[in-house]
Amino acid sequence: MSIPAWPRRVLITGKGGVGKSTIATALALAAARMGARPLLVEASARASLRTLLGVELGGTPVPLGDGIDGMSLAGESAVLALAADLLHSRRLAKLLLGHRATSTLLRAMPAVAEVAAVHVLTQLTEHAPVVVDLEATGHARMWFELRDTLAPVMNRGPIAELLARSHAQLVDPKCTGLLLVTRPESLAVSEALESCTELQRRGGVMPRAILVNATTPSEPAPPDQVARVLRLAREHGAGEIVRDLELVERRAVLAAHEREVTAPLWDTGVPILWLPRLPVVDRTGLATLGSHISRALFEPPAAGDPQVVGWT
Amino acid sequence: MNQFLGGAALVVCVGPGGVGKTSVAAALGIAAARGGRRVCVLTVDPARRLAAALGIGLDNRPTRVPIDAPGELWAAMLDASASFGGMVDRNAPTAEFQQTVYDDPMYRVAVGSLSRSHAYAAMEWLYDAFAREAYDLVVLDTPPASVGVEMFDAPSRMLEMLEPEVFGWFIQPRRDTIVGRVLARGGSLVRKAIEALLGEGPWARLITFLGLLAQMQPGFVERSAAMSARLRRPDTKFVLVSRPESLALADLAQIAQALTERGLPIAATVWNRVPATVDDPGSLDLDAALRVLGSAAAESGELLQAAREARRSAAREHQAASAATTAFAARLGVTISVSVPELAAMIDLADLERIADALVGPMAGPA
Repeated sequence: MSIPAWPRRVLITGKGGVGKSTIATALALAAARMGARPLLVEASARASLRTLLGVELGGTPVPLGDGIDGMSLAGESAVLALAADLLHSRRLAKLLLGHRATSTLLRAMPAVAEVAAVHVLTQLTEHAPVVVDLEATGHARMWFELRDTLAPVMNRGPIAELLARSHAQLVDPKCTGLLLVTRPESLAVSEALESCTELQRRGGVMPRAILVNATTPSEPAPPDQVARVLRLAREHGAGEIVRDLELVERRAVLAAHEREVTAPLWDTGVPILWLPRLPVVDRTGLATLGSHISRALFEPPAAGDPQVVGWT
Repeated sequence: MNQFLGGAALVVCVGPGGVGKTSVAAALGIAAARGGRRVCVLTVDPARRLAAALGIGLDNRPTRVPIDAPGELWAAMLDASASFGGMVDRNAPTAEFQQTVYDDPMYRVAVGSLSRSHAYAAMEWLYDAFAREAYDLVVLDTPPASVGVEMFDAPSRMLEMLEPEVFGWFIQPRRDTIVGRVLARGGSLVRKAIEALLGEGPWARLITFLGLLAQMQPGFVERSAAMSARLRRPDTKFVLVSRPESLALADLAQIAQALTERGLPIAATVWNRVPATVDDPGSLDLDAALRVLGSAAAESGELLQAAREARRSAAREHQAASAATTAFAARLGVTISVSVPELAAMIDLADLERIADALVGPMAGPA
């Protein structure tokens, strides 16, 4: 069963270290809770997913528990699948990859791994939704640009046709939703802005939403109250309480700084979702995070500003 | 760290994404320039972060960065097509031949925005810099995680590709030896298969392109072998850069393993953005606290509780981070391990200078 409001495929991209794997896993777990049959896909061999899930992922889907399956698009198996589909023969494909000269060529040629990954991804029909933990933005952008990048040398033939088909699927908002993850830090924000521009200009796609991850939690009280109680604590020489409240003040400064550095994201016109820093990452916590993202992004907006969705 | 930088000719920063590799690479460059060396920092990052951080425009040709140091700091950002162009210019037999290569559609795609092209181009850039003896030290900032590590496979991939039995198979199947005949016969099905896989036009273009490469082959082989050896010299130092967070550390462990597998030894670890030390004062006795603060704080019980919880959780985070980094460095057997504190923003030269201070101590201080 798929979830009607979700796109079939959700691609998660963003600068390294912003929390792509966490969000991908969270969404898959949430989808399983809603009764769907999600597949969690890693685009490159990175350790994050493995650490989150405690398993190795291979070239075919395996159950990961809690109703989700997982697989990897990294490595030779995607290239083998691509060759087998194009040649209509797995035996011939194996022969190619087993042959010294051709396998060396395929390893050395740029774009082969990307073409194979995109092909295998668009062939996955058993699961819905398919949640993809993409690589860092620059590399992920290549997926959307493959068709045009390779056009000068592959404007005809089986690979060109395949790229045209998969590109159409990737840019169709009903088939694929792209989520851009960032952090409330100036460099991450400027890279997110650059990605939006480049994805639109060269890949023909806009992210469905920008997720600002690991934000500082909102202050527990209005700033003037914090300042007043801090003054009291200093007057009474309550050292530990002074240090508690100083931390709260530092966080307030940090939160204000985060609001300031993320302000340029509004100019993209893409909906923005704020997510708090999660200290502990377990599957239950991740599923809750995923449900929150799902409600905010894929379900009709409730009252209030539909553009900003806070964490409650 | 000072001594470490003094003895290195190539420092390679590797690590997961988003940990501040570029900033650390630039800061290492500053630190070495303070030590009197002529340094160039090369970033492969397409996001132009180094340029922003150094406040200068960057391209393939290094730009001098104005810093107050006895040495020199230069910075460059990899431009794949310019690096490939240089490689063609140096290896092409004639000017006409250069133009033929530049006009080849396969060449133009290869030097475009594809990740593996960047790996080849970075190695070419480095080869050229070392051949010209342009700097005492080059600090290389790599793309994140697995893409970064794969970069070091570029020279050996190129070498493999250029081996006669691989390259020759595409260009002219040898029929003059028994092995060649077997290869040619066994190859015919494979040949049909790869032709079918790529399509007729692309296959023809590929053969043309490989034919062009063949004429420049000796130069390529020499350069690839030189770079492969350069990466394994004792004055090449690999520096792992990470944040002290569990997921980043997991990626880092994988990177460390990949480097070790390739015979590339890890010389140091840099922990970037280490959160400030916070001690855990234990739970709050709210009644006692309210008694101390008096009636003016009577309404602020919730705030006091929340503030204490926030501090305790920050303390737990800090403890976990320092335990994780200590364990990681111990497991790896790396003796040089430095921490850089979290800064509000790392975007200008002054911030990079502060990171350099954290790495090697302030310039005026003891060396």
